[in-house]
Amino acid sequence: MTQIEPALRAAPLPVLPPLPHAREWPVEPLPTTALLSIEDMDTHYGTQSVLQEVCCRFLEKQVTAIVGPSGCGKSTLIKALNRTLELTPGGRVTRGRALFRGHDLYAADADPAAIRKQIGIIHQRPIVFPMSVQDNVLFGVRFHRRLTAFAQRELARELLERVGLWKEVNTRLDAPAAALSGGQQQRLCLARTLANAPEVILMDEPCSALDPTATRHIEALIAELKRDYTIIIVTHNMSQARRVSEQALFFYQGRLIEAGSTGQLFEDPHEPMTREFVTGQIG
Amino acid sequence: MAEPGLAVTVTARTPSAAVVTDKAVTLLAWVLGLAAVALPMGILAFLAAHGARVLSWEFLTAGPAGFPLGAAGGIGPAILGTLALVGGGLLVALPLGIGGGIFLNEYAARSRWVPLVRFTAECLAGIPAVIYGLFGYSLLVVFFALKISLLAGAVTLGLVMFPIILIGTHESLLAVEWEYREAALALGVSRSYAIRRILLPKAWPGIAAVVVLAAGHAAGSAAPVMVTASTVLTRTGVTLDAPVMTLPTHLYHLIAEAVSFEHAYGTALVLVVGMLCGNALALPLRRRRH
Repeated sequence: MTQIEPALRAAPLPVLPPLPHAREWPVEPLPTTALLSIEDMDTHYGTQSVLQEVCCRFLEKQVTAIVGPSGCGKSTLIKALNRTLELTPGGRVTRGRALFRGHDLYAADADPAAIRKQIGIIHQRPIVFPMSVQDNVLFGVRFHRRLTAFAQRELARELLERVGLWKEVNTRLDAPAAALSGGQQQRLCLARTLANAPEVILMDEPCSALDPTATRHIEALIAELKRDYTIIIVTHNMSQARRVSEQALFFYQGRLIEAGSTGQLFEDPHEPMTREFVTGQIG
Repeated sequence: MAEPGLAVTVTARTPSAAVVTDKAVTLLAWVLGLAAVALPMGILAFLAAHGARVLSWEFLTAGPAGFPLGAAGGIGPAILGTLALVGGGLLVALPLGIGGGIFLNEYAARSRWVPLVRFTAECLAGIPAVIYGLFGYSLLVVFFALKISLLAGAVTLGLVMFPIILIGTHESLLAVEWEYREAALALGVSRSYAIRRILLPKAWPGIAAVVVLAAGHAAGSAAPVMVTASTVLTRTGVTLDAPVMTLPTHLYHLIAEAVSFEHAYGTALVLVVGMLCGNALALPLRRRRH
């Protein structure tokens, strides 16, 4: 897949074919114009199977929460969505497809680097690079684009403002990023991802290492960012999933058990296993 | 005293036994720590006590003189020769060692050949220096007809340093958390960009430390340069195609021929202080920037 230019983002999404093994989701009708779609996907780490026959669709400019107990394959799923799964030793997609705007992300001519630029990811533990705050923000964009020193400064300011960090760090842009607090580091990582101008932001338990105040910051940011981005968030925190998402997927032991609107999935789940999970009986 | 509900009787250690053990371990740690400081300081003090009186500007800059040769004069050409050999050797060893370490950890990490290459490098690093000398002599001096020269000696010393730097670079990169690679590549950048901008800066303190260690090891080795580069006297400057004097071989000459023990101690002192200075100069390189 070649990189999708911003102009193409305005183009209507292609109509997707029916999913091969999709179960009768409560979301009716099954969305046909999803930005991202996973079709009948299996993944493995080495010989260990992690996801089996996963079929799901992610709607454009909505927040989708992926919930489920530890080890159910939530993180594996989002890593498969931007081809970072293969960066983990042994991690690979063994069957099925992932479609982004109708393009197969695993096609032979697909460029993993271009996909990762379009579909950014925020990890569980904020990983700041051994460089200054500003250099961290611009790390990716400096690789992809040639910018003047003035443009770099302006872009860094704009991104740091976007993630609500500018007031806290504007006097120490050249200071090491490692000196920031955990919550600030996570927002810095978000700014670094936004610098690539992605269409989709994947978040892998972005608040699990943060205190309640920092968590509130991130959740407020998600609410603000969903106007411009499609967000898929993995969380083990059901309250958080309810607060931030419109759609939710429930995974159990590598299989998608139920998908639907967040309200329906948490208030009126159709699957007994989902009911057990949301009522705290499993997980 | 047995705790209720436990099948096994748990006996608390008497506080005095724990205190005695703790004090003994603390004492042992202090003794070993002090020994680690005292040993090199003692060697340096011994060399200073015996060799300091010959140190002068002339000793550091002039060539050897007197009869037998070395009984008077200085070690200037030997200092220059050693610096040139180590510098030249680093030109060979740094790209090979650092490049090899990067390749092993960042490009071939999943290959089953990596353990074999590492094992070979470890064997190479453990080979006695005299064997490098023999290899350098037969391959470079004789086969490639480089003659006994700075070039042949520098390449030989480069081969001495190469496995040490390769192992050190590989280990330093291994110590960088895997998440840095994932976080960088997830931004769509190339592997080489991630290595240059993140992994090498993270690993740099370890790499710099091992380069300094390898350079010190090479500077003090007589055997690899004895038959590839060194001579007992040079009158001209340092050139690639001519033999050079070196500090360790000059020291060997002074002792083996019983020329002058005072000059030998002076030469040894200069070698050791030179290594200390090299280490001190490398300290800023070894500091982590962020």
